[in-house]
Amino acid sequence: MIPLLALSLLALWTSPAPALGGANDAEDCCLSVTQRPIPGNIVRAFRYLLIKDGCRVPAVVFTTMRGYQLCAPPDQPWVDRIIRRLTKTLAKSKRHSS
Amino acid sequence: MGTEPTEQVSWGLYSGDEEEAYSAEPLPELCYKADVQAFSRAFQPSVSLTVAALGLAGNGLVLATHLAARRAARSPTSAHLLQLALADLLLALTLPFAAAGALQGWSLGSATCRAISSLYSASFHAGFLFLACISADRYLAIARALPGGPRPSTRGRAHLVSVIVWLLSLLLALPALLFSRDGQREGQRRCRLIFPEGLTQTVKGASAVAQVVLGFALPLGVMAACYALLGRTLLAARGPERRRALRVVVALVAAFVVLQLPYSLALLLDTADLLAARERSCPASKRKDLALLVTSGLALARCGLNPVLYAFLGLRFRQDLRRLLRGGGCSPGPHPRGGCPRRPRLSSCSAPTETHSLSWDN
Repeated sequence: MIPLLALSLLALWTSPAPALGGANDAEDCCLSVTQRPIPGNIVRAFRYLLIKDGCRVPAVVFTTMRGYQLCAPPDQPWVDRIIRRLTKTLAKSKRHSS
Repeated sequence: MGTEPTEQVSWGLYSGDEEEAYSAEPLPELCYKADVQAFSRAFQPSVSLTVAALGLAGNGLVLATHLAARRAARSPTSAHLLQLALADLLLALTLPFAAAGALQGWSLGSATCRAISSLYSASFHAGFLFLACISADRYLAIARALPGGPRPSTRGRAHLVSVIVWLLSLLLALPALLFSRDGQREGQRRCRLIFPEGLTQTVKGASAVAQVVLGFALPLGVMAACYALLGRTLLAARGPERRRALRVVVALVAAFVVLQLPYSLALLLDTADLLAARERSCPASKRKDLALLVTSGLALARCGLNPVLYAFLGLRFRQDLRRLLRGGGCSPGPHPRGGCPRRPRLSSCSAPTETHSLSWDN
């Protein structure tokens, strides 16, 4: 009885009434992430789309030179390496422009 | 998993025209949903505002009628109908905020976001629970009217049930109170529910299955069982009034199924995806979002239609009842209570008059 009650509470908690914001569930999101590393030199920008952004699959979105938006897992070392390199080059270009 | 070696290999592999090689592979890309969002920006506010207008007018009228009569609700059903109207009115009050938020972003701050979200969630759940209460009340009224049935409940018990339902609804609204946030994304602030990242997908999925079961299957089961028993009693009775009563019962169940079933099914499909960790293609994901959006609009419409289905249809019922009572019940006047004992044993009236529990007592 008590586990059932607990489960039902949890149930009604985690996906309640239709979302107040309306379009909550139609966010631009990654539906999956690549497990195969992307070469860093084809990437020109990155951004995060995480659970707090309303996405089910947390992801780093890499914008490639040709404008593709590729989805990568945020917890992989190769992803961190690309992000580190991008932030470095971004900082450099900022210093140049200013 | 051995990802380290493959990682090095693949770094070495793509030294030439890397992007050409990569774009040929089906790599997961960001799924843009601009068209769904555009539809939602038109659909969501129009549904919200329509339901809000219907809900405010209908439920306001129900409450006003009751307050004007200055009489405490007599049967448990009328007490719960009153609470249902209150819940729907509160829900209708939050809808203009939702419409404004969908149109131009949330501009009222985090505290208001939490307050409105909690009110929305609590009143949505309360409405649902009161619907189940009403069907149970109606069945019990019939069961008590039968010889040898259980003793009638006092007015106090109906109030106790109402208090329990509201407490439960507040409990169910707790996550909205705790986790609603006024978050910014792509320049627009939005009020939405974001769960802590600690909750795994499996827990969420399992609980969503349970939600469909408890939030739809269980109330439907209760309603179906109660109304089936009620219908059997009505079918056994004779006369046109009884037929009309039966039609109302059928309308109530049909409305519940038509308005709630699509959303519950869409939610169930979505949950199946979540549980199976199935990756849908971007077009399929957009279709699913669209289905959830449209069906949730139907589920919301229930709040605007409740007064029509439960209270206004009941008025006709009440007239039928008066005719029935005049024909041989325990009270000839428009106030049936006057003719009955103070705390009426319902079985002291003839069984068919118990269909009065379907009416709206004002």
